Amino acid sequence: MKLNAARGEAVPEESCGSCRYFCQAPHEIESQMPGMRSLGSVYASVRAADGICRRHDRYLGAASRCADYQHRV
Amino acid sequence: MTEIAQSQVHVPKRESAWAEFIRKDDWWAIWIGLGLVVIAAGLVAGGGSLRWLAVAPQKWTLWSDAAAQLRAHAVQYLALFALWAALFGIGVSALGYQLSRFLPAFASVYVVSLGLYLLGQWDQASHYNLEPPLVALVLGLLIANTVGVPKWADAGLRVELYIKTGIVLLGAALPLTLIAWAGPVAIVQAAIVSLVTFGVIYFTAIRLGLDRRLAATLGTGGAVCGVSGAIATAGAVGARKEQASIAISLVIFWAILAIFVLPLLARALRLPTGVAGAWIGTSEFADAAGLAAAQAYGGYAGHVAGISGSPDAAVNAFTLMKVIGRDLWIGVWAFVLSIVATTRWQATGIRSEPNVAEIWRRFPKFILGFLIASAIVTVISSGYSYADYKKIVQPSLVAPLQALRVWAFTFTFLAIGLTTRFRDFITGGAKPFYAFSAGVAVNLILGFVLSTQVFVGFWTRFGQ
Repeated sequence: MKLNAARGEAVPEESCGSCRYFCQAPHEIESQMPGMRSLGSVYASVRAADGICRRHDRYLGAASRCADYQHRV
Repeated sequence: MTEIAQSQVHVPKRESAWAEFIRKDDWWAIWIGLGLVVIAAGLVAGGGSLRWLAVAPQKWTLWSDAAAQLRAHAVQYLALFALWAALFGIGVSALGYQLSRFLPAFASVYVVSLGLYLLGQWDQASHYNLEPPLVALVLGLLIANTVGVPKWADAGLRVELYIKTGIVLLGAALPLTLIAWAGPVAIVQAAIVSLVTFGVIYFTAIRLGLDRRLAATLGTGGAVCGVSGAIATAGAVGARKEQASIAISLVIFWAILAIFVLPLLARALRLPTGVAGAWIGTSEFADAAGLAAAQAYGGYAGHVAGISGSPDAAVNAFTLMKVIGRDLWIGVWAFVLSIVATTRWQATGIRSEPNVAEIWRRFPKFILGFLIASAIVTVISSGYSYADYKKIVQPSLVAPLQALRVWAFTFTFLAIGLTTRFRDFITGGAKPFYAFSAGVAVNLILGFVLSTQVFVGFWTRFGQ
């Protein structure tokens, strides 16, 4: 863990991309965010590697980090 | 049981940088669209043409004529189906869908699209307002919101793959010199409207007490690039999942409404096709929705008294305004807002470090295909005299690619309707609706003033 000086938050080095709470599966994002298929795409470049954090119920970039990180096995 | 093979595997491990080339529909639009352009160019160089394969319905008066057309070209229509099914089939397979589910779904899309394309060639179609994009949309919406669309059909309803492929093919009909000439004006006009619209939505939302992350997601959804803008910003600022869904729902609601309203308003005002295309490009919220509106309006040229300009000018002006003027900048918006979110807004417990590389990562790559397609045809055309261009390049190269583009757009318009289910919308209450609607109102008026007053001379010339 290291301290984010700007915020005073303790966060791990590992990012959301490898966290067990983080979901990047396209079909799951589509099913959880209705309308995504209609005039957008979960496969679009603009989505980059974003996904849904099941822990915080947020839509995040894969490089984000938080103290609740748990490595995906 | 989902129809997506990928779901059974669910491998969200870090993939190589090369995976982007097969995991994103932007790149598949480039492979398919540019592949067709290169093949068409190669055939022309060898004295041939893609014309036989790029079959399209011709004008007709009586149903018997239409039926005769279909009979006469049945083999070509089957061959074209095989081509599209193979190209899109490879693409959706790479995205994780099962080909066995894609093929029957796409066959249905193709058959209905053929019917819509044929209907649009009826000589009374404009008289009865039967513009194919609008009919496709209404038909799709009716089916999706009444009897429903079976889940297995999802694989064949890839709106963004179809529209991006169509836009890449559209590049072949737009000379690079025209893009260079009109692009800066499109960027200036779009920048004015984007900044003002974002400001109106964002500050209205804040004033109404909404969260800043929701305000920013709504703002870019309305000002930059619809659903794509909303999800790019939501991911960049770490919005709540529900906030992204609210923005997506509002974008779709207004975008669908604008598909019908903008062409009707422009028609009532008898706007030239180039001017109407610029207005639609400035004020629509999504590429696919805007192209439906622009293509429908282009169909009025030559059929509705008082509407001047070429039929293609509406789509061309729209594309420059929306793709070059707005979509191009989506990564910059996301990057800037991620900086603001991490340095100025209330912490969420989740840490993000803004990275300038995000601008490229979120860049809508299909724009590269659009520009390369334009460059290829421009270079080829430069080797011909104007007379030879009209005699050889236009009918043998550009026209077949235009026909394929119309097919891709027709698949898109039908798929939009079939994937839009109003009961899935998440409104999040009245406040997000008010904030977004305020931006819609300003966007419509400002886009109208810029297109029909400030830059009217430019867009009128563009349309001719």
